[in-house]
Amino acid sequence: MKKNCNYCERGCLISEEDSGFCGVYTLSGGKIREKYPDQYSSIGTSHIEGVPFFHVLPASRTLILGGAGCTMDCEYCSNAYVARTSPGESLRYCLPPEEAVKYALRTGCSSIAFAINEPAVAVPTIRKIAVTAKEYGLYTGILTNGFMPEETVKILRRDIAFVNVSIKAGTGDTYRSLTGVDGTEIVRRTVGLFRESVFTEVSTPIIQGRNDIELPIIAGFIEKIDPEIPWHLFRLLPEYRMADEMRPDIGEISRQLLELKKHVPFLYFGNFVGSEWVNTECPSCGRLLIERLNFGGCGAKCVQNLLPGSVCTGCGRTIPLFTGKWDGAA
Amino acid sequence: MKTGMIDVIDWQISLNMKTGRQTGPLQPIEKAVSALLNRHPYPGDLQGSGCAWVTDTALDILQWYQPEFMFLGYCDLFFSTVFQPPGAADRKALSDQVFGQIERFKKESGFEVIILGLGNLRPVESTVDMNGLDGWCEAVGMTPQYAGIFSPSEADLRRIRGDSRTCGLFSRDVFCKTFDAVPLFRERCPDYLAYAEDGHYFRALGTTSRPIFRMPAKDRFLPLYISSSESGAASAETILDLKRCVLEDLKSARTALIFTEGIGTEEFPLPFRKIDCTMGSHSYAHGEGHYHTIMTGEHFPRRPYPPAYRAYLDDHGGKPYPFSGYFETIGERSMGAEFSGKSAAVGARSILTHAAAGTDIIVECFARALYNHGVMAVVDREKLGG
Repeated sequence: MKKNCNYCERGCLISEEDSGFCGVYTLSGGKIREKYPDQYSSIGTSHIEGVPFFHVLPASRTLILGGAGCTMDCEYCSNAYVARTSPGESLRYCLPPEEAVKYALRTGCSSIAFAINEPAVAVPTIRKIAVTAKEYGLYTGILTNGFMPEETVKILRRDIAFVNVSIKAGTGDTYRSLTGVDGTEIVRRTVGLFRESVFTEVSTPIIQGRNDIELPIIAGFIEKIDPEIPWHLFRLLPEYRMADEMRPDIGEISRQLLELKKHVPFLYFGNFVGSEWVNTECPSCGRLLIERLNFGGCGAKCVQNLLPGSVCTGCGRTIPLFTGKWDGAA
Repeated sequence: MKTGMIDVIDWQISLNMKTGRQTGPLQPIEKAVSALLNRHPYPGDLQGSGCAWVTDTALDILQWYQPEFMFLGYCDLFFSTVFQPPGAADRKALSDQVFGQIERFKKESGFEVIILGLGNLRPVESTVDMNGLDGWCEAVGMTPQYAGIFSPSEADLRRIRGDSRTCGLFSRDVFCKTFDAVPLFRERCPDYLAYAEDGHYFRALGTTSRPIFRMPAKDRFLPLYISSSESGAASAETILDLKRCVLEDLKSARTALIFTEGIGTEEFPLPFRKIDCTMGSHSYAHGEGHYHTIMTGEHFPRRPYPPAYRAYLDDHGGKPYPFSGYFETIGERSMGAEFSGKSAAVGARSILTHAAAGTDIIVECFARALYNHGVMAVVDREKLGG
């Protein structure tokens, strides 16, 4: 007997006790199930800006859970040691939902974030955690490549509160060459679907010479859905099969981003130490609202939050912010 | 004020180390350091060429700054063995490379050198899973040999004591009293500290997910090579003595203290004498303990960072020295800080170099969890008259 796994867009045909591309789902008793439910490769506590989420519960703490396996095969993968190896070797923590929630509460976290590998490979586990977390007043968020069918988005968005979707390219050719699949339309659909009811940020890794010329296409797409969506751009430190590639030129990319910021005002450029592009300023009056420092790596750390609610203290403009409640896109 | 200068290849920023905010125009010495960083990009932790980077950078500084004391950290043997499967790197060849680079430094600089191997690496026998307690456990870092236990139940304590891979379980009171901990260490110390047997490390909240192939052994002695027969280090019995000895040596000779990580008495290629690296029944393994204890001459409970320190408690915006990890001061009471002459440091151990060295100029790799972000320098602007 064989059955398609429909948690991601690959739709792998899986036979009993076998697994598909991600190595995490199997067919058991006629049903597609997780091979490693409630199992993780890492558990850590950090500030939420490091995930990165810049407009979600600023300056709060989050419990970061990492699993193993992925639905894409990115040439530059920064976490290949968990995303592209045999999941069974990496998933060394068994943490039932109650245990994860206990960790979060005892370490002063306001949320739980799945952020190391692709969450679509662990949808039932994430749902269980999100449901349990909600009972204890915690929010759950995910960082995803967005390569998932509508049904998976709908399952996830029932219980998660915030999402960061990675848009890796603006065209199918570039998507294929970087990730092994054409995610253009699928990922865009995912962003739109999440945006309907979940607080959404998006990310793009910049690989100069490969996808930087497509940044205006991606910006155009974001602007069309909602220009207020926070957009994180990363200066990619090439790893894995692209380890020998050059790093993007910060000066050149910055000049390009100045133009794009006119269309997507909450645009951030990071993954290089000391970046001056990680603060939140009011697009209308220019007032500094949230000051952050980048210590290397994605995201940043909040050092000063001057935004008491969701409204600029200078001019009264509304700033998109998840503070525990999100009514969906306007 | 200490200026932090960061070079991420083709782009630099300078900042006030204490606040993390950008500084104004560079002083002349900072301009020289800026050019230095540009000339010496860090090759990465696993490329086997970190040792050449340390020597090249140190000799470059020597040319235009002429320090009398240098502190150097060579880490290739550690990173390549801990994070790569056996056979990925030829240890003998790498060791020859590292010690070849140290010899080149010695020859070209004319410095007397004191070389300390920071200990053997050994296979990982097991990891001790500390999840599922009634309380909770934090075990921070790559191969944590201490685990911090918070709010444990009696059953938790029985479980931990009953695990043969745990060789000690100390309450906060006992640990702090036994080792004369400073008040802030005590305040931050977990309710209990568990200590792993040699060859085992703990796995809990905060443990790295990178595959680990070998880990630091719990050596009781480290190998120490001294180039000068006149050196006071010849009388050093423990790692606590080195600070005093080096400061004494500096009265008569330009001296470099050199750490070689990932090599201990089993493989050290130079003639050596053994020095004790223990604190009671505890052995120092690679990491913060070594760096600070050796540079300050004080055991680690004299500093306010207990094992399993919950750095996330500092995630408020006001933490001083935000680019220094969880350290709230840098270089305090260290050899570099207490030496009044000119001093410089170069190391491939990221934050630990600038947190422990205390020298006028410090250059280190800016690598985090093996991700190579660039290089960072710390310049003591006040001491250098900026």
